[in-house]
Amino acid sequence: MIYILLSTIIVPVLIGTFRFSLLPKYARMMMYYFYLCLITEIVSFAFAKMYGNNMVVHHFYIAIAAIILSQAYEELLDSVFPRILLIVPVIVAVEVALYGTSTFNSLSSTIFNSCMILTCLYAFYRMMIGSLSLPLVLINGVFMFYSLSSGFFFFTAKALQENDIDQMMVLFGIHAYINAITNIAYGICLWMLIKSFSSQRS
Amino acid sequence: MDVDKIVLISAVLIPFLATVSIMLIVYVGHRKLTHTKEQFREKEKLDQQLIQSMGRVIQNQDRSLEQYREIFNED
Repeated sequence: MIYILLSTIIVPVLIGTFRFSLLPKYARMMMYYFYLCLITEIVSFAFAKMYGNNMVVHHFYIAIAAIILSQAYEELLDSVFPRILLIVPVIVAVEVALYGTSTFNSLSSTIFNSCMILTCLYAFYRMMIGSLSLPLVLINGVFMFYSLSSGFFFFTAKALQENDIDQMMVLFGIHAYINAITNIAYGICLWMLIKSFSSQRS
Repeated sequence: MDVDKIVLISAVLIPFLATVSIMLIVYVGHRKLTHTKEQFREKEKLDQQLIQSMGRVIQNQDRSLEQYREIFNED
C-alpha cells in the first residue's frame, strides 16, 4: 500500500520541481503541499518500520497541510475565506493534548475535510462567476473529491473502529488506492497548468 | 451489506458523482453567465453605434441648416 503511495506522489513532485519557475504563486504553494505529502509518506514508512506506530506523522501532516492549502487558496482566490482552514492546527493541538498521538486523528481530519470542501465549493463559485480555466477546475475537483472521500472514509472508520480490525484494513486499502489515483490526477492537472502557462508565454 | 460495498459506495462513488456533478454545474453556469454577459456587451455596442449614427444625423441636419442660412443671407 505504502509503496503505491510513495510511487504515485513522486509524479506531481517531479513534474512540479522541473517546471517550478514556470508555476504561479498558488501552484508553488500547492507544490509545497505535495512535498509535504512526500515527506509524510517517507517518514510514515520509516516510523512504521522502526516503531510500529506512525500516527504522529499524520497529526503533523494535517496541521501543516491546512496552513499551506489555506495560503494557496488565499493566493488563488484573492479572498480571506480560506483562512477557515487555519482552525485545523488548533484542533490538532487540542486533539493531541486530549487523546495523545497514538490514536487516529479523526476529529481534526473531519474538520480539515469539511473546511476543504467549503473552500473548494467557494472556489468553484468564484470560478463560475469569474474566469474559468480547465486545469484549475480539475485540480479543484480533485481536491474536492479527495476531501469528500476522505471525510466519508473517516466517518466510516469511526463507526467501525470498535467492531473489527480486518474491516479497518479494507478501509485503509481503498483509501490508499483513492489517494494514489488523486496523486496521479494532481500530476496531470499540474502538467496541464504548466502547458497552459508555457503556451501563454510563447 | 458487506463492508466493501459500503465503503465502495460511500467513499468512492458518492464523492466522485458529487464532484463531477458540481463541475458540470460550474461549467454550465459559467457558460450561461458569460453568454448573457456577451449578449449584454453586444447590446451596449449596438446602442453606442445607434447613438453615434443619430449624432451624425443631427450634425448633418445642423450643417444643412447653416448652409441654407448662408444662402439666404447671401441673397
